[in-house]
Amino acid sequence: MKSKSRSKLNSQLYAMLLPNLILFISLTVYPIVWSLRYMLFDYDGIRSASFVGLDNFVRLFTRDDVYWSSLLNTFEYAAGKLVLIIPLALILAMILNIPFKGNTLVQAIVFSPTIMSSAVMALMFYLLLNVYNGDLNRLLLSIGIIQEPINWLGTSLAMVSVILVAVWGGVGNYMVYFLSGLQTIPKDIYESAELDGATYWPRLFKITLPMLGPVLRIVLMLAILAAFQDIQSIMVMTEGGPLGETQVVFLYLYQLFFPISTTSAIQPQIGYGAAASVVTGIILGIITAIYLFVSKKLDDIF
Amino acid sequence: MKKSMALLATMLVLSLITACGSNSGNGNSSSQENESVTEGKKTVIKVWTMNRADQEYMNEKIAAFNAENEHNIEIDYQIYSDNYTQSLDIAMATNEGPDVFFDGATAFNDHLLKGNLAPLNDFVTPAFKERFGEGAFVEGINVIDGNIYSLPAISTTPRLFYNKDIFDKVGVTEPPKTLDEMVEVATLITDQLKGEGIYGFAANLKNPAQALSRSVDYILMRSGGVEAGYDFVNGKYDFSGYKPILEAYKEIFTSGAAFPGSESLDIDPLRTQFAAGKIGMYISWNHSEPGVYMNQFPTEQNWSVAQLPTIEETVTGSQHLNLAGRWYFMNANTKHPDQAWKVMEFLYSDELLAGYHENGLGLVMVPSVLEVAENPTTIQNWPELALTEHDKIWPPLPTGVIPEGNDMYFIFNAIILGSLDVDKGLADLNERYNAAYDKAIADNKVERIQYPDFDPANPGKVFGQ
Repeated sequence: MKSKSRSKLNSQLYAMLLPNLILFISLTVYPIVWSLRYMLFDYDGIRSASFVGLDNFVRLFTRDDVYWSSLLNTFEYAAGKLVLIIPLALILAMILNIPFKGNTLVQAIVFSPTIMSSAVMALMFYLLLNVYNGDLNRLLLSIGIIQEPINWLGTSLAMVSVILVAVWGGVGNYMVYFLSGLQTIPKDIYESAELDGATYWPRLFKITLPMLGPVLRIVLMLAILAAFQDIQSIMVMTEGGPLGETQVVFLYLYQLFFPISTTSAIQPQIGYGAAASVVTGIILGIITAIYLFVSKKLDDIF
Repeated sequence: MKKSMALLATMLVLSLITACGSNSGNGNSSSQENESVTEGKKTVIKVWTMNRADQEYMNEKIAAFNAENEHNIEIDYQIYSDNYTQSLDIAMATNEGPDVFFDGATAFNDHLLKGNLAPLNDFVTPAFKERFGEGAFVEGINVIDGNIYSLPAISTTPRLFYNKDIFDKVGVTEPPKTLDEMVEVATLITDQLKGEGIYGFAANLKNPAQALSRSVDYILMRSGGVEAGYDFVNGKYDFSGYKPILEAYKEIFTSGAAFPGSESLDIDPLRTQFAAGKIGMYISWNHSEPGVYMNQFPTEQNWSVAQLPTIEETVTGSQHLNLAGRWYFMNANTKHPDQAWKVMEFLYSDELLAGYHENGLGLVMVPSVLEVAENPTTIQNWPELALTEHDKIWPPLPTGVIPEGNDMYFIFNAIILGSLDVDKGLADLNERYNAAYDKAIADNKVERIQYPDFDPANPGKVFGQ
């Protein structure tokens, strides 16, 4: 009798999962498998695919400097973004965890960039940051911090600019994660610490941060993966330029599958793109695995 | 725990709602389609374009056609601007493609090999063909193995656009004729007017392929050089001719004479700054810019048009007429070929094209249209926009050549911005493009194109013009 009701519950659960699963398989798994099967082929989407063995991988590892420099750019971008966004989100969360008047309003404001389309956001920053009449330069000039307009999207600063925009756009999201993590820490621990005479700093390092460990671990993992996959805003702000300075690896892969040109017939390199995607996927997988292994300690609260 | 359960439940409900939503959406649209088939006597012909500049005019004409035509045809006209190529590709692959569609510079090469283009020989009557004049049908451009796939209508080629007010301020009376003069004028303007935020020269280098394929390439063709790096005489890629042009550009872009931020500039922000009188000169297409300053970014500036500068004083080559020869195609899989042809007849009619020409939406090159059409006001105002003896149709370039690594325009951009040595960059391009070309030939993707007596001043000679 018991097992019957259990199987009934199970079938209900499966039925509820089904629509999601169907969409996931047909719109995510199937296209990935479809494109990955071409990794051993030379295929441009027009002519029939011809088998080339491991040549795509040989090209990637021995001849394609663009790929490796875009991978390096990705690491630079991800490191820059994480170093800024995680501490900032944590500090904001700790401040906003203290009840004060207008607290919810501030939370909403910090969170608001998250709900915006990143393409729209990037377009806005493209206009704000430009060197000839961007408002940021105008502001800095008028208060006398700088004497000459800064070329925010030029060769030397473009990477810094796209990182700052990414931090602005993502900090609210991670703040909310941390905030919910902070709210799960039982109040009585703080109360007993207070009775023992612990001041703010010992409480922060001995209670708050350790208790946040599991949340921090997941948030960091999500942040790492998100940082590797950010391409929308970069595509709008710089298209990977100038001179490939902001060309990140997923943008490069995207362009292999969907080359954009309004003037000449540039053909997709689906075979090569598939091979490069597999290698990138493996690299990302290794990084995630290393991270999960190294960060294991964060889960040990008690 | 409870919270996460609640979250999970919410997500499930949401996914169910969206799933149901999309299902019922499909149901609705298919039932609508059925209705229109049963009650409607009209045949819907889907026409796709990527052209937004002529939207107003085309919509008006098509509305009139839909209301008046005797063949019970209704045109469903769709404009896809940036994502045209991809949208078309996906639609054609799933057999949802338009019946009639625009070339957009890449559709011919993309879809010919896939068998998506219908030969029009059975539809094109001798009388219809005659309207297009001598030499309108060229093997490799709109004819393949005797099959006609498209017909010419409009064409475009670049010109130098400059601000006369700015030129007056610095005492320059004539637009530059050579690259050296262009560098000189750009430097002069920036030196004298930088304080007012006015600079001599700009280019939309955010997308180097877009910016440089409409300028550097055409300066070289006009100077008697190759097209897009391809040397028709020797049947291989040869980029060495670009050196003096890239050096002139480098001079402008590394000396500070260029508009600041050019390396991250899109074409429309560039145009807004030109309209605001902050830019002395830039190079773009002759069909698009007049409309931009009349409609999109109306300007008080006294701007004008000049021919592209050349390396030496004399013009020894000719500029390729872009888009020439092809305008609309018919889908080989259309269910209504006869009606689709009626729509093509309408699109290519003297009446539609004459209005197109007169409104300055594009420079029409069909003789029967030019007989009845007035010169557009744009050409009356800016005579240099008109096509000259130095604007010619060039033979088709090899397709299917995909060099490994960065493309020619990326390398050009690196040279122009001073981060790559010009000789090194051009030698690298010669090597990689020829390797890719040789490989494409070996793989039977393309045949070597070579015309030993090719003349850049008269490129049509090789196909008998």
